[in-house]
Amino acid sequence: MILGWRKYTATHERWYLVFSFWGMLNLLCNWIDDTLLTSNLELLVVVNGIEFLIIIFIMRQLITTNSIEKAVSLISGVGVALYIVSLFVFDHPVSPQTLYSDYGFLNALEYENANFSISILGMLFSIYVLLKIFTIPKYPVSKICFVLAIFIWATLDCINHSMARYLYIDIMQHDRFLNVYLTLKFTLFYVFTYIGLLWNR
Amino acid sequence: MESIANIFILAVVLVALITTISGFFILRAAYERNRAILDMEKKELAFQKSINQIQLKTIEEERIKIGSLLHDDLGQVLTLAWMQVQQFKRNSSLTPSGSNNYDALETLINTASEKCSDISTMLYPATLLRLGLFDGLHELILQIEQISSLKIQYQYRYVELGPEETKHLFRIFQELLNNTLKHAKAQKVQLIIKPSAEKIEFHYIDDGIGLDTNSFIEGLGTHTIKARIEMLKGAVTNSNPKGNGFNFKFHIPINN
Repeated sequence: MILGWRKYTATHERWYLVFSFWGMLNLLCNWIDDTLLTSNLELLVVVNGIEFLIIIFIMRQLITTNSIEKAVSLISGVGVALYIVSLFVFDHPVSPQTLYSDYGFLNALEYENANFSISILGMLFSIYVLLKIFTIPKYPVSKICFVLAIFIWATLDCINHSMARYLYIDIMQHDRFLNVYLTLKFTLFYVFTYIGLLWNR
Repeated sequence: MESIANIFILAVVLVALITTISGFFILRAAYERNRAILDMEKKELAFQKSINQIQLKTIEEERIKIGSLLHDDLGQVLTLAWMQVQQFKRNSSLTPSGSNNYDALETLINTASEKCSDISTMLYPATLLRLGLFDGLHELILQIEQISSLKIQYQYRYVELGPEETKHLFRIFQELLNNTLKHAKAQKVQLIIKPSAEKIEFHYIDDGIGLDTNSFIEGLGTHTIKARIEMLKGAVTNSNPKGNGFNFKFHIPINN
């Protein structure tokens, strides 16, 4: 939150405020998760959907000269939003009762499917942007850090959401896996994001 | 189950490691590429600067050469011709129509001689050679005020200048005044030269239509102004809002 604001005041590029917004979103999500909700599948799917919209926004800002087609970002954003809504409305795939959230809207398999789709799209966007960036001469290295951060975030998410479902039988092993995975994902994601926000040139 | 968890953990760690290492390689490659481009641009700029300097030097040398040829050779020939005509007029008994022809010839020779002198002065003012920048500018201002309605306010404090500085500074103001006359639709010009301990500040203001800062820098004539200031190791510090006159400020170090 602070670094996003600092970068905005240093560069006067308003889009950097999206990092402050992202920080606030994470803070709010953690607070709700800790205090208000007894089960977090619905919350995390919605937050991941919003994060995907943030990613599209950041990617568009990073390559303004060779911009991502408006139609592509619109279809992806609206598509993900509709997909999340459909998860709440329809119960597919059906799972054992233990995998449903306390509120009964989503089960863990739906959650994994949704996040897997979002991470695949995130990964495709970041690869596309990364390739485009190398066609732009003198592209600021600090901005490449954001693409790398999102690429790592999406790639690790992709692996997690494709594999984690096989560990649902033993919740202890799933926890052990999550501990390693989440530590790695957030450390790498934040390291690259912070480098991008702190690097002035 | 534990072994599957271990395999998954290993897979995640490996992917994280690979992506991170690739990420740092990508960053390094981008950094190196940017540095190479910047180095190349710097070299190109330095090369361009040296070309500009050589061009300006050549132009100045040619101007002096042509100016002195006009003044010393052609000017002398015309003076001789005028003297010959005078002698003819004195020594021959002429009919009124013949005398008129000689008068016309004399006028033509005089005009040619004046034109020759004007061109020679424009190419390299004699006062600039003899008396330096400040009087050279004074003469230029008088000439401009004679041929136009422009009022030029000229303020300066004397400071010793070398021949290179004199030459370039004179050309800069010649170009600026020329631009004002041609494009600015101005009534008044203010030209201030203010020396201090470390530098000499030059301020040129007209009350004309003004122009964009960018277009000033990009213009062809002004390109040479910039090159001349750079040659004198000076810097431009101009603020130039459109439609509010032309305001050009620059300074050169005093030890130049």
